[in-house]
Amino acid sequence: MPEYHASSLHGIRWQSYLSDSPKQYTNMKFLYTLIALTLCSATLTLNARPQHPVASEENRLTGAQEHLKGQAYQIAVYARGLVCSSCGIGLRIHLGKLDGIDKTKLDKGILLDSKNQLVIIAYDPKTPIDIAATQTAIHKAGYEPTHYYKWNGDKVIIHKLEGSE
Amino acid sequence: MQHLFIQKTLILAGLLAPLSFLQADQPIMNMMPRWDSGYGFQVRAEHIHRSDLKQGSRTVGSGFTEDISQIHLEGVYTWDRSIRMTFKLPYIADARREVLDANNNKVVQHDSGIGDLTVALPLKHYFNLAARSGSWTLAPQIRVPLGKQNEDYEVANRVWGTGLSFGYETETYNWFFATGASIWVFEKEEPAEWSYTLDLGWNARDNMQLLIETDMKWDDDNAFTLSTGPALYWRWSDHVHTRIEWKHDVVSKVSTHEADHGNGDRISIGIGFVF
Repeated sequence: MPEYHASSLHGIRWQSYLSDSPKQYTNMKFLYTLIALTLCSATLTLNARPQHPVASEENRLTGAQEHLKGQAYQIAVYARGLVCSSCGIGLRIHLGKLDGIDKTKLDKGILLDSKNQLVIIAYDPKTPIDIAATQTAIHKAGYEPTHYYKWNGDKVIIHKLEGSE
Repeated sequence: MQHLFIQKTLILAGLLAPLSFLQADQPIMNMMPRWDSGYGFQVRAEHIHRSDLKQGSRTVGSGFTEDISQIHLEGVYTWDRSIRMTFKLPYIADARREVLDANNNKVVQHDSGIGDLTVALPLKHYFNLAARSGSWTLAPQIRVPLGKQNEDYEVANRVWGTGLSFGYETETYNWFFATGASIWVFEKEEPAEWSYTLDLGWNARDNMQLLIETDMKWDDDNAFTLSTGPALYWRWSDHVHTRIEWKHDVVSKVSTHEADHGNGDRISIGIGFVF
């Protein structure tokens, strides 16, 4: 491609680069800016959320105990795959349609603990929770319930769900 | 002779509009809804600035800019979480570009109006593991030409097209990874396009994700674009979600046999509602 000069085309400023060097500098500047922004963002949010190991059965039990201690009308269901609260909002949508959910407790009756892959459900003392319907609702929300935890007045007991692996 | 060659090239650029933006991204924010009977819509404002007129990887018209402002309306419905339908409809609020006419005069062209409708049927296979979850996606898509024809300048392709995209995404408590590839073929003489995307995200807070997104795009006219940049996702509530992203063309190679605008930056701000 030949080089064109400003005077060659009726005063329209033309420039044909013999190399792309100026653009490469721009791109390098952009990449450095991007790296700097990433590092700044990482620094700012470093302590926003503690890093957490894979939710082991032991951690999950501890998590369930913390949520359920003294709560006679709540259960915690292990919803396998619930690692992201934003993706798990379907749980609140589907579980919220069940009878007996106490929407005055927790967050409209449902709390998502993605750190431990637990769904905490508060229910009305007058309406015992329907475990089978709960299981179906969690499936519809996109997760796999395998067992649930319940406070028995002394400690948390683990109950396996029917049909779960 | 050389001037004539450049003139013809630029006139061709005026006749052949830049290809539209074949994002493999799906509403809402790529992630939702991942439940049965879910639905949502999002409104996304996008501005694209391209700073130069190029041919191949060479800049032939420095400072001949193109600016496109669009509003996108996008929606999704899931019958079963593994079968969903999505649509994307852009409205070009204003598009402006500078080219050269046959008399070597700088000409400013405009385009506006409704763009092309994209309808997709993403089929997803979700998996839930002890430490992570994710999905595989296969999405057949069609492009429906809408709006008025404009011989001089068209931001939208305004031709029928059909596409297929394939994607994989997975997420842990802390990290998000997504990749995908897509191909589009169009009627008439529009070149076919391939694209590849790679997104890496960090769940910085329960309701916040920071991402670095990279897109690569090729077409049958030997054009190639590599763009990358950061994105921020923020969940205000169960039903309201926001996403801001900026991408810069790190590599911008347009067709080798006709001039087109390149060296672009794209900023997009979207708000989505999901139920």
